[in-house]
Amino acid sequence: MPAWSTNPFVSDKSEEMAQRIFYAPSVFNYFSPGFRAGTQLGPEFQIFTTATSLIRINFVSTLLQGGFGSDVTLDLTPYLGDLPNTGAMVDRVNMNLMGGLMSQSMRDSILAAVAKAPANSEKVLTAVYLTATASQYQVEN
Amino acid sequence: MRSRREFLKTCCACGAAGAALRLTRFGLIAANAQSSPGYKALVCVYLGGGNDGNNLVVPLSTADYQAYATGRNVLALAAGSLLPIPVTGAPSGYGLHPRMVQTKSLYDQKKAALVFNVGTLVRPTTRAQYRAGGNPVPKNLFSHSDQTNQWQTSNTAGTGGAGWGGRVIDLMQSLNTTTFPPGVSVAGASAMLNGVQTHAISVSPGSRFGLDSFGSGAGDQARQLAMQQILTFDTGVSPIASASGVTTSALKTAQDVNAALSGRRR
Repeated sequence: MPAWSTNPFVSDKSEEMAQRIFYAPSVFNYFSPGFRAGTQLGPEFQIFTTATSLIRINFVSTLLQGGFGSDVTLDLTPYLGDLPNTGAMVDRVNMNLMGGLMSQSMRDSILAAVAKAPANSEKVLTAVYLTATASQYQVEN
Repeated sequence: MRSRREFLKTCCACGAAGAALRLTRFGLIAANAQSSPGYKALVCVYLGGGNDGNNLVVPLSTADYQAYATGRNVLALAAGSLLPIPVTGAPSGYGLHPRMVQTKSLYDQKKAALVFNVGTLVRPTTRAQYRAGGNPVPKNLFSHSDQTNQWQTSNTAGTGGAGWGGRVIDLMQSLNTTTFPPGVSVAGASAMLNGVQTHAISVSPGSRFGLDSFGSGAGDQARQLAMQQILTFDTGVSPIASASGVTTSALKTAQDVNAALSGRRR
């Protein structure tokens, strides 16, 4: 993907996700090292709130639907090439987004949803959407 | 993004009636403020960016004002511009910043009071005691971010832990008969509302609170089902469990919030 975009979508969405690029909300940066997620220290969870978690999910769906305009386009060709083998397609998503660490149960759920999506392009978008919005992916990226 | 000032303004201007009407739809506050004569509310406004207290209240006695004017130099407010407020035991009184007209009016009606020299101390400590050391003082005293956290957690020994608002909610949790969480933040995660058992929800003003759908109806339904399932997986890894907990809570609350805002009772 190109590393630049003049589309305001990027700065608007990064601000909504509480991580506006180069503009931390205070001199203490985006989150405090003392912030706790439950009983454990989890600094990043200071900006992972019920509001931003949904905004992050919607960021992914907007991105997948071409929300960046012509600045950033997704090349789905390799994934479409795997079809009709949906298992191979999901494995490719797993390898590219999660380094192959997706659990079997997560893979099964994604495959069930992929089976319900009628068009091939929607099958691929479904697999990418469910992977990129999963906590399993988000905590590592 | 809304500024703190804009938010407070709208709260004061239309909030009392508008917000109460909307919140009653949650079954959350049965319009208590309007109907129950004994209703009391504690409203705390924490200025995250701080406040120039030395220009908010200025001493008017000749010696004290002179010390202030010398220290402040060009930033000092002219003595004549200050709004004088009488203070028992200080015959010369103090003056409020010229823009604090409403506060002065409330003060004159004995509906406002000022508390000076409040800080995050472990026990009362004089400057001499602080300089001499030996008296316990809060961790990282003078660090803005640490003190902000300590104000919200009332834990002077650390830089984390549960907030006092969240601990209150933990204790009152059984009284909440609705599905709507008592702690709601419109300004991101709040340490104050972070309980041990309970967690506040955060909503973002101006953003739609819910999931966007795309593609076919059948595909969308299947994706939502799969997402709900995936949220229950891999919870043995604590960051994943925490993240999934936040998202699960968001999806559940989004239903309640959107139903209430669209006028449907739940």
